[in-house]
Amino acid sequence: MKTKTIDYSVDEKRIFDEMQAVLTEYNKQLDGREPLPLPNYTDDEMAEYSQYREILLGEKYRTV
Amino acid sequence: MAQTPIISPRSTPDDIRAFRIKKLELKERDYPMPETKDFILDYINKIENKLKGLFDSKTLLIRVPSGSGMNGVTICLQQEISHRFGAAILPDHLVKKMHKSEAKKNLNLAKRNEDPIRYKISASEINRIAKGFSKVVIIDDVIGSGESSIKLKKTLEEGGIKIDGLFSLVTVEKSYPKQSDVDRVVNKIDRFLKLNFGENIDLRTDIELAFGDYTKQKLNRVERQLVTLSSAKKYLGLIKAAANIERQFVTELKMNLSL
Repeated sequence: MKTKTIDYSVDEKRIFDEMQAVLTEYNKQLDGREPLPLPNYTDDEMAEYSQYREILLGEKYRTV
Repeated sequence: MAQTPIISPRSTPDDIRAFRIKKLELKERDYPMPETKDFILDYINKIENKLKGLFDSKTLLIRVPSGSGMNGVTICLQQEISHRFGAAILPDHLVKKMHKSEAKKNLNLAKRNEDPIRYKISASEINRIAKGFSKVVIIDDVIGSGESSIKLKKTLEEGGIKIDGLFSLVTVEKSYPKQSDVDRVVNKIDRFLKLNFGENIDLRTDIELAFGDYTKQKLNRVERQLVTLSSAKKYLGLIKAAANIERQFVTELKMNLSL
């Protein structure tokens, strides 16, 4: 199981960064007049993305 | 209704308002350090005398995964509690979210029904870690409806991990709906729609299921909308859908689909 960001490949990181951008844009528009459609990522894709983000956040805020 | 103790003190309206404004501002700047940490310290110091006895070295802290994928506040909070009281932190990779929408203050029931809050956990690994602790506490930066923390608690408990309480830096609401709150919402809808006996019972059951385990804020948000015949019709459908989602959530947990 991956526990650090260095366990992820460059390609995996790129995919998660793209998901982050899509989800951020979706959430920005969520309560606006013209909300964007719900991104169609699967549960597994979301869980993988979330795991990466949690590890990334942990590294960012625990090393300071 | 299985209502979970919220162990953090209720925040004042001024603190809640100031917290939301500042958090949004930090989010727009990707939660810079050390400003994010200083922000946490300000709020922790406000409730410092109420934290005594809540945490110790036999406490395991499990944080709610970030809804935005960016939130530095909850991690800093978890870190600070660990630093002050010696509590342990569950490794970051063991709890993941599967929903896409953030838990916004004004996210309506229809939107949440489209994308229910759900988590995936590594149950056996968390169980193994939790065995070494006498208390397990879920941590989030804000508890409003409590939906994020409570859905995570339900998921963890279905995986065999007993949760002793929920803690947040800012607690908007810590009480749960009483029978009288459920009755009041049923009566409001009934006044508009003239439900028959069976429909009345079904509505009561659906409200208890969809709102009973979460704080009063979730039900209050719906109650405030019940002002016309058309809103009563709309919310009757949304409440039924929310109850069905809760049923499905429980079924998925029983089948271990999220574990």
